[in-house]
Amino acid sequence: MGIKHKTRARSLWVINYFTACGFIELLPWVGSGYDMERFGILAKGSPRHADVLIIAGYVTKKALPRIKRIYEQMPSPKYVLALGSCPMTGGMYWDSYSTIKRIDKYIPVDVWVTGCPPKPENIGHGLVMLMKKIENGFEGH
Amino acid sequence: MNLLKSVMGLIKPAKVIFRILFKKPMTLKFPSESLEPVKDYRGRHFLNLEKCVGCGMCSRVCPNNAIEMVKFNGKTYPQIHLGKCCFCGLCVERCPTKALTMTPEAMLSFYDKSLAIYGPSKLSQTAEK
Amino acid sequence: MNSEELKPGFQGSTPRALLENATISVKKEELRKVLSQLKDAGFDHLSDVTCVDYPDEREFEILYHLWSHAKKCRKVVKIRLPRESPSIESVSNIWEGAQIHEREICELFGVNFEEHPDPSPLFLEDWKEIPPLRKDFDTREYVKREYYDESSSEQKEGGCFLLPFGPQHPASGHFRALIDCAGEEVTGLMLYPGYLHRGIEKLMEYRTHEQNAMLVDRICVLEPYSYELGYANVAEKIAGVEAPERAKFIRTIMTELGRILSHITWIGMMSFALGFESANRIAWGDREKIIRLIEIASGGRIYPCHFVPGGVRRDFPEGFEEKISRVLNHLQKKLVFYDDLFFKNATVIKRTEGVGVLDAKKAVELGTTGPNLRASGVKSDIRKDEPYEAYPEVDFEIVTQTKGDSYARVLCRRGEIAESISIIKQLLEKIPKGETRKQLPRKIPKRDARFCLEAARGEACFYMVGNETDKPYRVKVRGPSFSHTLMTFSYLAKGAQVADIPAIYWSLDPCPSDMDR
Repeated sequence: MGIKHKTRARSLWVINYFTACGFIELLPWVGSGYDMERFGILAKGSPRHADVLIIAGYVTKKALPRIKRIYEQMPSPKYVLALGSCPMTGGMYWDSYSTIKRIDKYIPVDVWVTGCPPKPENIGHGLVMLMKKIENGFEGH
Repeated sequence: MNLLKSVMGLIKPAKVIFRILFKKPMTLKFPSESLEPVKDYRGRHFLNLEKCVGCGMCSRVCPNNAIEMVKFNGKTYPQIHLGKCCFCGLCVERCPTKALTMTPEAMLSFYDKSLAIYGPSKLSQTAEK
Repeated sequence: MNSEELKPGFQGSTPRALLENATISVKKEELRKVLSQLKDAGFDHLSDVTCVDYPDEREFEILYHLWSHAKKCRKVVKIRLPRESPSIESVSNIWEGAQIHEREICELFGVNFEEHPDPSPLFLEDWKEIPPLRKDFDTREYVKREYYDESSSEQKEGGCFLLPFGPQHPASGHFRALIDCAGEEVTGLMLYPGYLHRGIEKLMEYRTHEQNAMLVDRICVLEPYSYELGYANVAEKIAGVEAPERAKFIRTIMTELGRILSHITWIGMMSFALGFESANRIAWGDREKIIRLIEIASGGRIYPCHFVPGGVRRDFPEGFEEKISRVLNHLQKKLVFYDDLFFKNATVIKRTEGVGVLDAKKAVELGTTGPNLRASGVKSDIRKDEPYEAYPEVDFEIVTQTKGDSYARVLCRRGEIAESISIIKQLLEKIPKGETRKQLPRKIPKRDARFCLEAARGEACFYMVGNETDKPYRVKVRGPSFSHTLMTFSYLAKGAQVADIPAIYWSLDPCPSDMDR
C-alpha cells in the first residue's frame, strides 16, 4: 500500500519475449503511437532484469518449457499479463494438436486481456489494471 | 573525400531527427485520451433480448466454439465466452433476426478469467462509460 | 529448349507430354529422372512439395509444384505411394531447397525420404502419436484426451554449447538458432523452428469455408491480407466461381495496403536489428495510419477478416477513397523523409552493404522468392507473370536490384512501397460500381486447385483438394518465409560475421509464424 508499491508500479520492466501474434499490438506501445515508456515500462532483453512477463498469444507445446524457464529466471516480485484469447482458453486453436489451451495451469496470470489480438487501448487498459493492482498492495509471485 | 561522405551521411539523419523535435507529438496520451473508436469496429457483442429467437445459428457458425446456448428467463439465449471469441463477426452476419450486433467497446481486461464469460443479461447491457 | 532433347533415356510418358501437359503423373522409379529433366528444360524453381493422404485408396499422393522463371509457366508432377510403407527418393540433390519441404512432409505425414541429408523432426517435440496430418489422426479427439482431461507430461530440453540466437533474443523471431562460430566467423547454423507450429493445415480440414477465411488470417501476423486473398481465390477456383469485379478491386487495393503496412513494419524491425531505434519508433508510429484505414474498411485492426470466398464482407464505407489518397500522399512525402533517415543513412549502408550476398542462381536453387529474389537480379513477380484479381488493369514496374546483398534487399523494399502507392492510386481511379459478394455453392467439388500470389515476402501458394463435403479435404499453404528462413538464411549466415547475423536475418524479412504455420 505504501510508497514501495507505488514506486514498483511505476517501473515495470517487460521482458522482450513475445510469444506470438499478440506482440503485433504491442508495436504501437513500443513505437511512438502510445509509447509505453511514459508509464516507466521498458523492454528488457534479459529475464534477470524483468518484472513483467507478457504472454502474447498462443503458446505451443514446444515453447512452453522455455516460457517456464524464463519465468523461473525472473526475480521476485514478478507479474504475468496474458494477451489474447489463446493463452486463456485456446482461442482460435482450441482443437489444435500442438498448442497449450490454458496457460494458468502452468504459470499464474494476474491480468487477462481479451481480443484476438487485443486492441492497443485494451492492452493499455490491462497494463493500467496491473499497475492499480500493484499499487493496492499486490505482492506478485 | 570518403570520410567527408561518411560524416555527411551521419549528419543528415541527425538533422532529420532534430527537426522532429519541434513537431506535434505523434503519441496519444493514453489513458486520458484515446483514438475515437471506428463506427463499425468489431468489439464486444450486444444482444437484443426481444429480437433473439434462440435459433442457435451463431453457436453453430462460430469457428472458436465460443458461443453456448443457455436458458435465461425461460428462453434460450447465446452466452459468449469472450476469452474464446476471435471477434470475427460471423455470428452477427449469420443472425437471422439481427438480434446480435457488435459494439465498438474493446476495453475488456479482467483480473479473473471467469469474468470473460458474458451471459445473456451481461450481453444485453449497453456499453457503460 | 525443345522437346527432342528430353527424349533419350526417358520411359513411360512421351517427352512431348512432359513439356505440354500442366500435370504429369510419374512412377516412383522415374521421379528423379523426370524432375532433373524438367529442371534442365527450364523449370528451375521448386515452389512447393505437397502431400495428400487418401486412406480409402491406401495411398499418399505427393505433388511437386514447379515454376519456370524464364518461361513463366507452372508444372505439377504427381506421384502415388503405398500408404503402408511410404518411401520415396529425396530430390534434394536436384534442388537444394527441396530438403526443407521434404523434412516437413517426413514429420507431418511419416513419409520416408531416402538419402535425405537431415530427416530429423522440424516442428514437433517428443511426438509419440501417428503423424498429425494423416487423415486417421483426429485432432479434436487428441485435444480432448491431451489437454482437457489430465495434465500433460513434463518436457525436457537438450543442452547445447553453441551460441544461441533465440527463441528469446531481441533481434530474433520466435525460433531457435544455434550459431557454431570460430571466433567472429560463423561456421555453421542449426535452425530449430516449430515454436509457433499450431497445425493450421489440419485445422482447416475441420472447418467450413467461412470459418477458414477467419483462420487463414492468423497464418502471418505481419501481412494477413495476402493470405485471405489466397484462400478466397483458391476456394473460388475450385468452385468455378468468379468474384464480382468491384470485389476484385477492393481486394487488390487492400492487399497492396497490406504490402505497404508490412514493409513499413519491416523498416522498424530492420532498424531495430541494426540498433537504430529512432527510425524504429518513427516507422511504427506511421504504421498506425495504415492500420486505421484497415480498421475503417474492415472493422478489425490486425486481422481484418475482410475477404471471404466469393467476394468481400464489407464494401468501402462512404468517403473512404479520399481517406486512402490522403494517407498515400502523406506516405509519399514520408518516403523522402525515410530516405534521409534510413535508406541513405551512412550507418545503415555500412552495416548492410556487401553483407549476405546471394547470387541469382543460388537464390533460385534455394527456393527464394519475392523481394529477396528480385534483389539478386531475377525479374520475377507473380503479379506480372500470372496476373490475378485486378492486376491486369494496372501498370507497374518490377523493382529489381543487381547486387543481391542486404542493402539491395533494403532498396528493393523501398522501391516496392513506392510502386504499391502508385498501384493503389491507379486502382482508385478505375474502381467500378456493383455488387461485392457472391454466394459459393456449399459443397466443394471433388477436384484440386492451386493458386499462387505475390505476398509482401514472396510467393504464397494455396493448394486445395475437395471431397463433395462443405469442408476442404486438404489445404496446403506454402509460405515464403518457410524457405527464406530455413534455407536462405542458413546459407547466407555461413561464413558471415556474428555481428552481421541480425542484419542478414532481417534483410530477408522473415515471419516466423508464417514459417511454422
